[in-house]
Amino acid sequence: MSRVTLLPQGEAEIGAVLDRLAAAPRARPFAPDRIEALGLLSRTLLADRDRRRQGEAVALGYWLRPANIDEMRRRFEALARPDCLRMPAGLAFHVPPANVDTMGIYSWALSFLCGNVSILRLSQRSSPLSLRLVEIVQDTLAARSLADCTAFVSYGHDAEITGAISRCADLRVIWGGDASIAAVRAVPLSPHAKEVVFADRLSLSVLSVPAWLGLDEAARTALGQRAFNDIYSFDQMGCSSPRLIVWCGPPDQVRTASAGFSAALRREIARRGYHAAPATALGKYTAACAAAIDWPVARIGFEDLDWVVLDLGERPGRLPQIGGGGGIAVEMRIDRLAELVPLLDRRVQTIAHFGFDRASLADFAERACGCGGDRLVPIGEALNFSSLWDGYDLLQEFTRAVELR
Amino acid sequence: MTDFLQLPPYGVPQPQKDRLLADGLAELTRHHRAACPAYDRVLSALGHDRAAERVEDIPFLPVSLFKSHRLASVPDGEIVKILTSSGTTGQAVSRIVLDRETAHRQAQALAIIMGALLGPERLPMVLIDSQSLLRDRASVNARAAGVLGMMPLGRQHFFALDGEMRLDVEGLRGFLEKFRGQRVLLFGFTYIVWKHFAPAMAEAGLRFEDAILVHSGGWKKLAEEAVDNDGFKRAIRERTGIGRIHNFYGMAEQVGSVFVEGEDGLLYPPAFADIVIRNPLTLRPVPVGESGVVQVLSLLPRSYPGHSLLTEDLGRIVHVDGAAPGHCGKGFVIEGRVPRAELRGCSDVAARMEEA
Repeated sequence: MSRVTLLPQGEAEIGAVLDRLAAAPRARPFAPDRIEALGLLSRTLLADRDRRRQGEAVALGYWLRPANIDEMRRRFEALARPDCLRMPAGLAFHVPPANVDTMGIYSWALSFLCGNVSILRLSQRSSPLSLRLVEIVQDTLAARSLADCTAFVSYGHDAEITGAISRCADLRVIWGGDASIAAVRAVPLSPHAKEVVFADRLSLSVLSVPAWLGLDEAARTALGQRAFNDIYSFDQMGCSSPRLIVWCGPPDQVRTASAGFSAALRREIARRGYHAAPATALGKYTAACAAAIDWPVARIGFEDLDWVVLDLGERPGRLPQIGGGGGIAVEMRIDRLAELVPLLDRRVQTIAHFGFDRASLADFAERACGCGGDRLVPIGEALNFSSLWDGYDLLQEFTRAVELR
Repeated sequence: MTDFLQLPPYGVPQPQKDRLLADGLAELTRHHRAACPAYDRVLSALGHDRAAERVEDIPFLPVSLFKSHRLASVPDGEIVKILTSSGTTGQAVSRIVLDRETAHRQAQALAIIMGALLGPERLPMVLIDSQSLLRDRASVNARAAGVLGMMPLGRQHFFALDGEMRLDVEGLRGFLEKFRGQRVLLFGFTYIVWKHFAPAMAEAGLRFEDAILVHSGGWKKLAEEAVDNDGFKRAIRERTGIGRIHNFYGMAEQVGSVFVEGEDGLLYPPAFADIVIRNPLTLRPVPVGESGVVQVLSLLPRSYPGHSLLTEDLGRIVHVDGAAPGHCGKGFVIEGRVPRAELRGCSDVAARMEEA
């Protein structure tokens, strides 16, 4: 009746898959055999020669290494209280995005660490990298006799199958965008289940002008390299990819700082041999012209379309949202970090910063008071996945609190 | 402006044409800046402060800007027609606003271009499409606009296909008998001619004796079937008996300003239009013979700022003023669309993430 594709290969009735998962053992959060399995997965990913060329897979392998898992465990345990035991949420239904190949695996890995049983729905148009990752995960789990607790499935437009899974799930995790959230949310979830969703977001970078001007040439080059990682990974289409660069400092120095930053970024573009595909380049030109109509853009600046900067002549009423990707950003100026606060809204996710001390960032976050800016991370780490994401502590979200007195 | 339409469409050598166009286009740029605030904002942001002195210095809008923004240089009350580009379902379409004057100039221009090809006499005409295409006249898509634009160039029109794109065999037989011994004109979209017309003609055993086919609409689907211009012509001649076949390149965003295939198989701009080939990364003009993105320029658009547009097509100029005498200008080829780059990312999946 309702058959689904099992990945990496096979086919099954969704009912049979759900029965198997219902019978699969859960575990306590951070169970040693699960930690060990992720360590093996990390080694496999980092050793896999084909994958070495794929930065995303390497980043995933690095993130899964035992030291990082251990750090997560320490953070998790630091939140423990004597009258509470954390237990797995149960059966987790993950709907990762179609085109960030590793996202589903991060989501699964956290859920697995928390002791859950997981079912992931992958796009029917999954990339070879996605399928290879699924295969590696399955092989690793099989090698540790843990294969029963996970299913990777794929199916077409079928609300019935989504409904069948949702009725059994204790936790549903939807990795945006807004349209997929709306579509999946239309399918009822078991009354006792909870849902974690990741909506479309907007991210930015903020740099202190004096701090930038205080850098020597080598340090500027290094920061340019880190900024390149933030801006150009995933063709700048990630929710965490900065699309707005905010300079904090006096007006007469901003132009120099901005030009120096663009030059450093261009050096890295040249060093990497990056070139925008023609369609991407033209897309940036179109986005730039559209932005000039929709926002107070004083100047569209580019030497070539590998890096396009849109200078805001005046401060907009809200943060500009522009199209295009793969190397385009709006630039604006503020005098103090606090001036950014009224522009924030719920869409703002990552604020990649440079040149601010912890106290000023904390002060900024307190002024923002949760109304946007869920991640304040150094420039260069905008796309580094963390168990703290979009305002959630996912290790808490993926577990239940059992009171014990 | 009428001056330009008085010029022989292919008789102005490039150096002279460059001067005439630069003046006319600069005047249009000033007109649109004054009349269309959105256009003025884009040009200010791009840093165009002075009047351009050369054709390649005329600023250009990306053609797809007309998909996201309605750009008009006339008050709403003067709009008589809104053209939409053809697009597959779900894709955004361009909306081009026309006032009486621009619509008239477009029709005049097309008549001049086609007159150079077909001679002064209006010929009996076969439209290789379905009449049902023309139902709504206030808002017309590019295909209907093409058919409507071409119709005044012929007489005694006959629509060769029915609503299901099947050949009206009996009707066409009647048409052929009625105009036996006379030259006839055919117009259709390249793929429709190829897919729905030519095979059915061969099957019905119908043939033209003295006919000229003008076709347009792009080669994407034919390229997928590995059919090029020569192969197209050969096959159409063989199946339909049509002796003269001319492709043209044009778009909804610049109706009337079409680039017709000359005897040498290259496309040529008329006197009031031109192309510039640009490097897709630097947007600077490339030398003759080099491939790049096609910018189209035309003196026709006054009701919308579309006189200079950067397309998403790739092309190459083969020679300048290099064709037979009397056929001046840039001879070029279109090499297809800029290949789509699928940008990845998590917020961009909405369109692809199937509904639950």
